[in-house]
Amino acid sequence: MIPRLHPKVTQAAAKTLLWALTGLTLLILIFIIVNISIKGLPQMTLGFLFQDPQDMGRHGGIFSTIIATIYVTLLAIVLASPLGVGTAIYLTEYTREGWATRIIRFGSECLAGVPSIILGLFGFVLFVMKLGFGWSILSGGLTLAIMVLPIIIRTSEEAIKAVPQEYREVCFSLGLSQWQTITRIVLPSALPGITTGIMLSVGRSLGETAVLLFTAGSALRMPTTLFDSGRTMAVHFYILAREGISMPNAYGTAAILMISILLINLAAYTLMQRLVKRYS
Amino acid sequence: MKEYKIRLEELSFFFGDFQALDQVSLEIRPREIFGLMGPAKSGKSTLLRVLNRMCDLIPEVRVTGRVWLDDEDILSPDCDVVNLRRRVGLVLSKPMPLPRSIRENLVLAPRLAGRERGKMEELVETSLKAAQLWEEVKDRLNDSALKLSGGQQQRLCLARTLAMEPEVILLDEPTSGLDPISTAKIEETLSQLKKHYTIILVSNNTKQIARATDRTAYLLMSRIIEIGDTARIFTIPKDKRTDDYISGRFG
Amino acid sequence: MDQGKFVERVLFLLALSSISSLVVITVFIFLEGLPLIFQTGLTDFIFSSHWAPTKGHFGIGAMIVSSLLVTLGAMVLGVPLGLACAIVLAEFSSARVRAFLKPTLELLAGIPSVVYGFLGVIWLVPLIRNYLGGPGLSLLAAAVILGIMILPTVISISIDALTAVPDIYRDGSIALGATEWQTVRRVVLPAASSGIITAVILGMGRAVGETMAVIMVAGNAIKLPASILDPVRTLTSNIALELGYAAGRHREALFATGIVLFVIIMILNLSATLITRRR
Repeated sequence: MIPRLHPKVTQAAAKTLLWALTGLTLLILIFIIVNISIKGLPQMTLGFLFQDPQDMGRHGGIFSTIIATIYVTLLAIVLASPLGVGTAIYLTEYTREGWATRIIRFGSECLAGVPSIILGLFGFVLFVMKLGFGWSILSGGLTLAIMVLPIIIRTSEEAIKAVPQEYREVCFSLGLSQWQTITRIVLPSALPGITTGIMLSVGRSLGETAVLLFTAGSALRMPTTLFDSGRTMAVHFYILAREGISMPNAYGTAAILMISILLINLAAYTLMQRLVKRYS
Repeated sequence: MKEYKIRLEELSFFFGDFQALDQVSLEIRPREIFGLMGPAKSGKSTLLRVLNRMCDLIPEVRVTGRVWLDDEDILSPDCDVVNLRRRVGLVLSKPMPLPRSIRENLVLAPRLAGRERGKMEELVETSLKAAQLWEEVKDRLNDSALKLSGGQQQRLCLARTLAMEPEVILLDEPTSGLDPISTAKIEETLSQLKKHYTIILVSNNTKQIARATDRTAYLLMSRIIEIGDTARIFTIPKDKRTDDYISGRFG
Repeated sequence: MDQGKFVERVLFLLALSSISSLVVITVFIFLEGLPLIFQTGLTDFIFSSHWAPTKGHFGIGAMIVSSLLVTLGAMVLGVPLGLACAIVLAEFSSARVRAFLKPTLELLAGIPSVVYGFLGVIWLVPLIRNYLGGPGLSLLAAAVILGIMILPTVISISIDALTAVPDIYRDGSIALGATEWQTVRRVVLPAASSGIITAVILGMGRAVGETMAVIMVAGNAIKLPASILDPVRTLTSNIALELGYAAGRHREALFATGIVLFVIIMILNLSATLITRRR
């Protein structure tokens, strides 16, 4: 028979194990960031940032991929934000909890769970082929917009719900219409939370590869219209690494990509914390 | 002069199955301070919220009877609720300034109601003076309203209601969270405001009702028990239950 | 029509179009893929492992098995690790440590999947090849990388579940003389179990659906793996690898693969929602 250990001993053992596992997770994270940074940051010169890629990316910089990334991300955000924020307003301010809100919320959760490759598949056949937009900034932006929509809906909904109910009561008692109440008081108060959602969406868009490979394509030319194909940084990095074109340039691209996403996410997190603090 | 400003005819109010008001009839005269007293859950706050249709915000309510504001039936579906709420202002029990500057709190509603922009400064000053807050805040109108003390916040809420230039002011236990000095200031303000406004004051503080109102109704379990001049009710109540309540033997 | 009604209708339309995007995706994938499943026969499509799309053989059995095995492997690694982080953060760390640790761990969510895959190829694959044998690009490599990638999902949802347990439970247990660990194990974890199960299920969804990192480290061979060191091709990689050049029935077959993936994900999401609602 195994002797029964003293509870204090098991507690010490359990705590040590849990902290060790947490430490391991932290180490993995640090390893990833340090590894990419050490090999990538030396590549990050002004020339690398502001020159177009040459010879499939073996030489030159990544300027056109930065521009393509900005274009598709911007398009996705411009399309998804009004839709997402509008949906959140409808869910929180205009409907009582019921079957309609449940369906919309469940649908949005499902949409959040749809794998990006399925979105890529969908965007490829609908936008690229059937609607004839081709591999383009437009097809990529449209598909990305669908991808980030649930993020924007959820964060906006939470932010709007966090605005104290009493503010709405005060506004109504002052003779403001519901729409005035929403635009003058509710939305301004929820703005940091909504911005957080949009920033997280930007982060998601920057790092997305599966969707864009099949919708925005991989042309290295500088995109000039919505119908031009554009290779984003993440896709560029994937191709450089996968086809072994240039490891230094792959590291450089990865470093820029990773650092910008981490900074955006960190800013979003800080903003959210401030919002939480304000209302608690 | 009309004999009433607001007239309730057999007003009943239900939340789902719960009846919050049962056949309430009463008249409120122009430019009087009318007190509504009663224990918690007696229906007094509900009554107040019917008068500017704030009750619309609660799901599953049913109202029967009639409520007249001057000659307008405010329970009719044709009633313009937004306009009604501009005519009948409500001050809530918890001071709740909006997260804006003091000035913004005051001019928000008048501006959206389409009042002349040139008059805003004057409006800020007169409403703050009427709420006896002007001296304390005149140098920091652009500061956040959230920085004010509780008593100041509540007077700001009163000023905000006054800035809409309403005809009737509803006050729902406006001093419940305040210290005696702030309470005294609010009561003093009310007696000044009486010259221009019809005021309905809900309170479960019988002393405040006795001090501050002209006429009083006593509500108990969704029904009116007694209505009359405040002085009379507090000296010779007709109903035993009123007597019990004001002398503190209630419950 | 007055302004209020107008605004309400516009917002309703926005909400409707948000949701319709999901409906359109579903309908689209099914319309494109179902005919092929019917022609091939559902059992053949799902259970056969003979995939030669240019010759008319569409069996994705091996890929389904591979997807499930890779996901299972990711769970074995990711769930204990993620749960440990969540318990440490929610129960055993001071406010100051938590304020630093939580946002730091959330950075994991921001690292793009291609970067995970890339580091897997550079570091993990050679390690496996040199010390365990096989080609290195393998089920094991994919499982390890996915195990790390699901951490943010598992951690954040588990933390929510743990912090939702009322403090009275903890106080009651401590007052009875239990140690902190006994309290966590016997009181807090059982009380948070449905939330933790949700975290695991959503982590599974994330692992099943991941594409780019898996393509880079899994080796992509279409056969039933005999050991964890064998290369595998998952459902997601199958779509991504062949979409670029597929046409006609071949492309339909990729949509059919998408249907299977979609159904798996929906079942996972639905059970997560049901579990959350029952709580």
